[in-house]
Amino acid sequence: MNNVGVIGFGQSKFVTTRTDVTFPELVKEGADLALADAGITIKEVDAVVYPLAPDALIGVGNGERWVIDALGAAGKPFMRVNNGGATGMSAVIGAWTHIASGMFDVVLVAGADRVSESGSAQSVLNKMWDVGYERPVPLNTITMLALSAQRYMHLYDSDETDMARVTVKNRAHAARNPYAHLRKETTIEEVLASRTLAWPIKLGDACPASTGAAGVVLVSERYAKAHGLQAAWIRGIGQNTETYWMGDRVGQKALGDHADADALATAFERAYKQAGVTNAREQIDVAEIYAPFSSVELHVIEAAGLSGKGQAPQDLADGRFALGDGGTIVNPSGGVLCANPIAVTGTIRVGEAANQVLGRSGGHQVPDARIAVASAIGGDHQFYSTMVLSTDLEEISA
Amino acid sequence: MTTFVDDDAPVRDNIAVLSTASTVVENEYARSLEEMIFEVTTQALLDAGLSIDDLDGVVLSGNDQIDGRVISCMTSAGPAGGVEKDTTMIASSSDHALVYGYLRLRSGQGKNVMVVGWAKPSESVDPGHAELVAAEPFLLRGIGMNNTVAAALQASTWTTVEEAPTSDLLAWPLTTKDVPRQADSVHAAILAVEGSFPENSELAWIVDAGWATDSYELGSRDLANLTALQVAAEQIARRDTTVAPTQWNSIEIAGISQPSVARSVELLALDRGIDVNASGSLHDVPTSPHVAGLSRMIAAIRSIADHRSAEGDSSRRRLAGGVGLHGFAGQGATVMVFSNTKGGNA
Repeated sequence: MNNVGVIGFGQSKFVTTRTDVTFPELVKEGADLALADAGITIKEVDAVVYPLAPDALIGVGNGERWVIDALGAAGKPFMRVNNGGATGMSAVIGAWTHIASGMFDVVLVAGADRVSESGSAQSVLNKMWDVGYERPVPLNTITMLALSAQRYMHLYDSDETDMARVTVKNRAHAARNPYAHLRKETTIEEVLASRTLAWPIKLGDACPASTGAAGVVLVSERYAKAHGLQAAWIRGIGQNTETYWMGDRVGQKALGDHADADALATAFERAYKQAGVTNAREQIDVAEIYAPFSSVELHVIEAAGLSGKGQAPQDLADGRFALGDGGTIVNPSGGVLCANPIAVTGTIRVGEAANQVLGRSGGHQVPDARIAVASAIGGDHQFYSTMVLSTDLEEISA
Repeated sequence: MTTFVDDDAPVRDNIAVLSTASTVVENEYARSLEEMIFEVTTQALLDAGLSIDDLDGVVLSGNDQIDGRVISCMTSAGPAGGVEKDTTMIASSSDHALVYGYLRLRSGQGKNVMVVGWAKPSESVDPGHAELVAAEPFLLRGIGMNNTVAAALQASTWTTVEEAPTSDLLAWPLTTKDVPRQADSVHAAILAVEGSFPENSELAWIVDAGWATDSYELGSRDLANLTALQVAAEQIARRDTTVAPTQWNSIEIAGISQPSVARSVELLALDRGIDVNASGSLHDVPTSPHVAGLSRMIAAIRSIADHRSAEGDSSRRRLAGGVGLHGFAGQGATVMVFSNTKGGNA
């Protein structure tokens, strides 16, 4: 198998609304930023993998065809990935697949989203569920994850303060990240006092609807060596899929408990096995994990093996996972809770993880970071992507 | 736990197609899309001699607008066997999904993968509107651009007024028999790496794949020359001239229109004696634009398998090309080459 590395990551400053660009122009911004960071032009790119989740969020069907020119992809092999919220990382795994196949040396992943400009994102996302049973509940990403949060609180005796601690940590991190959408620090009291969206999720527990672009450039080891490029090496990838039905996540015959993220844990295990990670808590320096609500971060930390089941709230209360702690730092960028341009949210997780292991994260750099893990979640907590990156190609478990 | 990525293996280029399965019904009222997907994928597994537990990954391809679902892979992943699997949806076209399945195995991700593409326009409130929203909102949507109009614009570059039909016109110069007939359809194929299945149980080997795209702007393109198709075919010829289109024994083309099929034959410089769309014309074999490419790839695979059944095992190499064109006037193109003998060229 060919080794594959990330040599460039670009992202725009995420905001609620951009009136200065059309959608293709925004996509071009992501591509240009990634290529500039990699120090190459589109001419050097062999193929393009484009992340775009629901077409309905941009209002154009097969929206990938509209942005071909903006990406500079005309004349090149091109395909689009759509795994819901996991799309941005599944597309990077797609690019990894292109290069590891031996057919390509340089692959660009770049895209954009303007979630807040889609009319009603939650109304769009309600249409993810089947017409007859779960759409009328009404499920959307907030109510679905509120049910998960309630179940977690019940099972592990946690409370809303545990969730608020996640927000406080991530907002403090985002304050150091110039690209984050929400950069204002907050307190537990402010989060608890914010208005309820779907109990126990409050406004302070929720991600913003973000507009912006991002991209990464992946290359083969032979290309990196031939051009003297420093890369963040992709050491392991893992994906897994959960049942679609909420009703199959509760009760005695449940395929999985809605409190936990067992299918995600399997995806992490697959990436760890390939990478040679044997003890995540000891070996992972940085985790850029996909958690659009504070409650989600709790069970993703556990699925990643950074806490035992139900232990994440206590670990957070003990000060773990925050910049300045000596262990694994979780979401030093502020994470999805502080910027969520859906199509590229997973791409940003990879880019942030790559920057961390290359020591390029500026104000939110984790000192001496060598091993990072990134993850993404799509659909109704259904599609999971994970990836382990490192500074070098030396054995991780050593 | 299954080892999903084999770090120690070199790039694997002996990838075979173990089975294919399809269901095509013009208007399927008795079965839901999910039931159709379940039946087709179950049949593909049976024909490959595999159970769902044997499967290492699933590649899906659906279209949100045709399906009327915001993320169409969500409901389809389960009936396609994707739960507890590495599942990825390639949304740009179903022939891209087949290419991605090939890339997955080449890159060492598992020993097999199932590729599933679907479209059920009869469940759509208005399939025509689903096509219309694929036009960008500033110019093309306002003038009513859709697949038929784009195909007609393209065909007009190859047609003189004297040659054009005068009756049964759909959009000048195309008649209803020139454009693909719509149907509800699901197609599946199971791919596997050499050594993971009994020898000689494969339907065909994948020799190579090329794919490319062209500008979205119709005015920026040379509509007459199907540039994406030519670029995709050149990728294959550049790697190995002995499997270039000029060497093929048959071809199945998911054209935008019948004139585009004829033009593809010319542009690829195919031998005049070869079988072109032996499985049927665009009008004879109904499909949906999203799955047309995968449908024709499967027809090309079947042509290799059928030939081997009829002629017996032969060391003489036979090559079948599959072509998928997608987007307005063939903005994107995929070319795959299948053979009765192993050995990839990529």
